[in-house]
Amino acid sequence: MSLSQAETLIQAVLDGDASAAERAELDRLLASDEALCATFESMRHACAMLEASPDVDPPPGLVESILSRATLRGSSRAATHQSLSGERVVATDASRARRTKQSWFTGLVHLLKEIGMNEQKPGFLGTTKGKFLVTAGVAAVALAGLSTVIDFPPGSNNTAGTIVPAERHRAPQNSAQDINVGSPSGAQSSNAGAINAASGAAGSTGAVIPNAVTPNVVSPSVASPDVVSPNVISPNSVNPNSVSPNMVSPNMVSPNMVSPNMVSPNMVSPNSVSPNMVSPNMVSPNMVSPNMVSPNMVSPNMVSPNMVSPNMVSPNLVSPNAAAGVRSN
Amino acid sequence: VETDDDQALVDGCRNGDRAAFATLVTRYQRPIYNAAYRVLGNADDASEVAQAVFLRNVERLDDYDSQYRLFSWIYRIAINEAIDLLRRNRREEPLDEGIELADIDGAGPEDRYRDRQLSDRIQRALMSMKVEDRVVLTLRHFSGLSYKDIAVVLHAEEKTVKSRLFEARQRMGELLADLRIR
Repeated sequence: MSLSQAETLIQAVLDGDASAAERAELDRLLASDEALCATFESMRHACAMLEASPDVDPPPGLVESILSRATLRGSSRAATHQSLSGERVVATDASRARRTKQSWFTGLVHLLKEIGMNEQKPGFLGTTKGKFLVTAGVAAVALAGLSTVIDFPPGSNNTAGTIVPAERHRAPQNSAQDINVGSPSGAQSSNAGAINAASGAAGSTGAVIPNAVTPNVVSPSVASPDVVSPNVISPNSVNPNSVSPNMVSPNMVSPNMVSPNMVSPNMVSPNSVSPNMVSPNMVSPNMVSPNMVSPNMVSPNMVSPNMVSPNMVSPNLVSPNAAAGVRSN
Repeated sequence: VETDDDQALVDGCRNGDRAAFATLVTRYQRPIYNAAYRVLGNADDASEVAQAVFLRNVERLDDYDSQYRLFSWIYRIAINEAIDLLRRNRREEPLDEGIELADIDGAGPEDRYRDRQLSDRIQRALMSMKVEDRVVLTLRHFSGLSYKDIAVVLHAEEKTVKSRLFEARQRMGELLADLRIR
């Protein structure tokens, strides 16, 4: 925005740059325009106050603080243009701190750029393709370096780490000796006892080959509560001796077996809490009987004349009109 | 502000001459501190900016273009540092328009006390203005820069500086309307 002629003149006068002719012209304008005159006076007043405002003293030791923070060391430019003698003020704490924050990757990129410049290949590195290839190369080198440090992807020797936890939950496999249908007692492995119980419950009389029962054969749908009736498993069908404390090892329940996804927010639906659960009828009006507050609970003797002092009733509480009404009565 | 031998100081700093750097700091620390104080309104912040200006100055000496005057270049660094600090502290917005300004009419007889009161009053008025207005008033009235130098510092055209300064002076006139000149 440019200033008007009057504003330009005002500015020139305030700055002390106006010629005699400009001053006269401004005086003429001000004489015919009260608002402009008021603006000029206000601005002149403000400028006078600003000019009259004294300097603020810097804190003592500011110079020393600045000089002490400026680190003395040689710079590349100074080294190339100046003699090597004497101290040099070429770097500061701030710049040094920034330099230390630079990563090795940035340094590598800069190094490659410098190499590219020194090799006089601006045409290649100057192109987008060239920059992309250099960046991709640096990234590949960096990834290769990282892979040697953190061993990713893991080698065959290190895959045990992903399997060992599963092995802890894998129970020993049953052998043919473990299956002894029809003889619930005797020396049996805990798993064999379990199979005995299951086969007995199902009413099967045939031999159960251990390998024939894989985890995949018994699907969750098969073992529904409807299939196995509580009556099917009688107390006699499970030999107390066949259930060893070792059957349920703490290791069998891994924290990983219960995933956070198993408990879905949808499991508790808003509909499960019905407004009808709290019925209005639960609070009956009859619960508070009028008879509970008896007139006899407040006795006239409880309010003594001494409890109300004359000072407690301010004159302002009684309006003049009310007083007049009393007098007229 | 001396400018005759500024270039010699710059050359000395580039050559690693610590005495030249000390002279440069001593010469400009007061005006830079005052400019920072007027823009920031806080002595600690002004001190921080003043230090940062000279440290930056040393870092960027190679960037200094000798066709401009040294103090213009230093002021530019100072204003940028001050505005950066305001942004970091989220204090770019002017203070409340309804800020209660101190009345100096009832000041005591001591000149120093009166000056202090006047300075505080003006500072509070400045802080109630937009940063752009505050900066241009500071550079013109407290730092004494010409329109041309202010344009260099602010990287703006001279006519823009004049226009902005006119508005800022108008605003300051309104804010100090009740203040009498002694």
